[in-house]
Amino acid sequence: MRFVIIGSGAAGVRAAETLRQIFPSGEARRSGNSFEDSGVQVDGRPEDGQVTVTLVSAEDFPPYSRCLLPAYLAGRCREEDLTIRPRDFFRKLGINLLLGREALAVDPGKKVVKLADGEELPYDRLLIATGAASRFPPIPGIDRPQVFGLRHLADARAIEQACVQMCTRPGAHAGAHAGAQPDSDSRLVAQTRSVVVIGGGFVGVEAAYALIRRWGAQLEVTVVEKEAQILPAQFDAYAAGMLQREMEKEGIRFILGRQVGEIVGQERPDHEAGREVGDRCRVVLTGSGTAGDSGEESLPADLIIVAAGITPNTAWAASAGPAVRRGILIDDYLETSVPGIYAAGDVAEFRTLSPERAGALPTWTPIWPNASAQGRIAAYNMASRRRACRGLIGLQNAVEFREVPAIAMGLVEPPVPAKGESGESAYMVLVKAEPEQRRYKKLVLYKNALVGMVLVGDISQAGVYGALLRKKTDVSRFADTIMNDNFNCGHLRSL
Amino acid sequence: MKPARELKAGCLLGMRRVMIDAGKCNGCMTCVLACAGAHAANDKSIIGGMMEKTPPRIQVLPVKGRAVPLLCLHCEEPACVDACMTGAMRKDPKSGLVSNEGGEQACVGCWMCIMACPYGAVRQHPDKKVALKCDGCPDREVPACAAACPMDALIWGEVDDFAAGRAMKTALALLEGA
Repeated sequence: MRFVIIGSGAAGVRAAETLRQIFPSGEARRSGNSFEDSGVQVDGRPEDGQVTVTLVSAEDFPPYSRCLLPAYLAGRCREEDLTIRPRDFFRKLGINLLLGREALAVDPGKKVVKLADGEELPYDRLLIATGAASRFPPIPGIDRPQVFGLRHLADARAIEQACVQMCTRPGAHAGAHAGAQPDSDSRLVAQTRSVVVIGGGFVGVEAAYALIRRWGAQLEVTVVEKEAQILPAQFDAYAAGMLQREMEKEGIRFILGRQVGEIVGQERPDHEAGREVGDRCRVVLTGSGTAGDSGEESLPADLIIVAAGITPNTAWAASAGPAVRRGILIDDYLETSVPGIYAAGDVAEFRTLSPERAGALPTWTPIWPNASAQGRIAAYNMASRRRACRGLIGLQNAVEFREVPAIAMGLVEPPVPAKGESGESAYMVLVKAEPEQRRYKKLVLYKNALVGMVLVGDISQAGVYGALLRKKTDVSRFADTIMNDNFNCGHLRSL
Repeated sequence: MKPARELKAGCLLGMRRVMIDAGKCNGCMTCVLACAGAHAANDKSIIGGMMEKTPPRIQVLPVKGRAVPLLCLHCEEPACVDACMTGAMRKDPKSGLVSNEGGEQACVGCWMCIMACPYGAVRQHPDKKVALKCDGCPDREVPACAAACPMDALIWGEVDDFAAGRAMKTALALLEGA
């Protein structure tokens, strides 16, 4: 049985490692767990009952964590610290790791994956775990060389390099408020270096925070977010405000309620040398902004980071024939519309939802823990150990700024009733705010079940609330304790 | 992996684990002190733990005036391992113990494991930006907490039906399908 996995992110690595737990190779295999007694039906051409697990990555770097890229930008970890498994992990487990090999197409008839270098990889079961790419909104000028996404190590390296260039180039000032002295090269470089981050979601704010932590006053960092708050997909306005104030204390500036309409600037004619960061652009803003907005029409930018969401990498997979909506459509068993081809992680979207889940959970859940879990469960299904993937919460995340940790999960703001709608809302919101302690707790209930939560400051019980949320437990019996600071899983024993 | 090994208490029957009989706990906190001592850098005694201010990994939770001990159950399919974005949190294939320490990958304190653990068994280290959890005392014959418990509320032994059944019954139910 030949297992091929395309993509070496959370889902791909977890799938490969789980397959090797089910079908150990080498020594582990000789100790009794062989393919023959596993009960897996061989539907391809078995090679002497041998199981092979091949992990293909387009990137020429051992499997690493994208979530750590902000830490890398902040100078808190080195490149080699980004890897998510020990050096000899894949070899020891018997996983054939192909790095720097891009998969171009799949032929589901011949059951082969075609690689960019012409090689064809035969498979019996295929997992597509190609993840997603930074989404670049259709803004005029977004293709300028000063514009970067932040998704891959290559992006982080490029941003890092640009910052080093900007902050060490003649004319760069050590302090934002240092007097501007004209540089002999150009009038433009003799100013404080400005970074504009487009998008105030997790990637955007973490990138901004990382740059300011690393470069301090050498960089002026501004985050432009089109909603009226940062982290609009996960946090409510109150918690987002708390986190924003922490980041403002570090010197990050936020422009909310406004969008980037255009990126204008002059380019050197000789920019074949690659990304040239010496030239400054201007980011033109549209919209009126939130209260207190300075109303400026444009911002100078030496470097622009686009953090406006992600797009699943489905393009090449379309050749294989699986149905695609936003992501590659999968059923509860993570199989695509093409038998034998599975998908997991950021590239995948649930095709069907079991009735209990319908409407309650999003069909696309692009976060690390879910990608890992999907990869693991896809491996079981690829090994014919049928197992449904249930209860993944799409909108959840954890952050920490200036030692204020925060976790949000699910629906953090009940929907506003439609006009003319009357009667009591089925939603209940419980809030406890202690801003001076930098603590905040909010639970959103729908018909006595927890559907969302925000914790700032004290996050110790986040997982317990998460379990209640996932299980849709009737929490009315904990009504007297659920908002207490010391509410914990011990209280659930009275169920 | 043999199919159909029965899962109980989040871990496999037959594996040795610390089991919790919360009804017997009187909240004396000896387990907490013993845990801190066992993880002290130099003097691995209760006094050593107090002198070095080592943070304990076991918790004694207040539940409506009663005490309930809580430590990591070293789940068979740990949500914290799925959630860990550095690869620091892993389950040792031999011992079955789940830990974010001692491996090649370092914990950076992203708190994804805290978000994922349905028991609240992972916490923030009070001094460092890393997650803190029970490591199962891999170097000891009997984990320090169970060895120290004078009330038999923490029992070290093979996970059996009876023990698994009584151990944090309801919280366990929450893990199903997670």
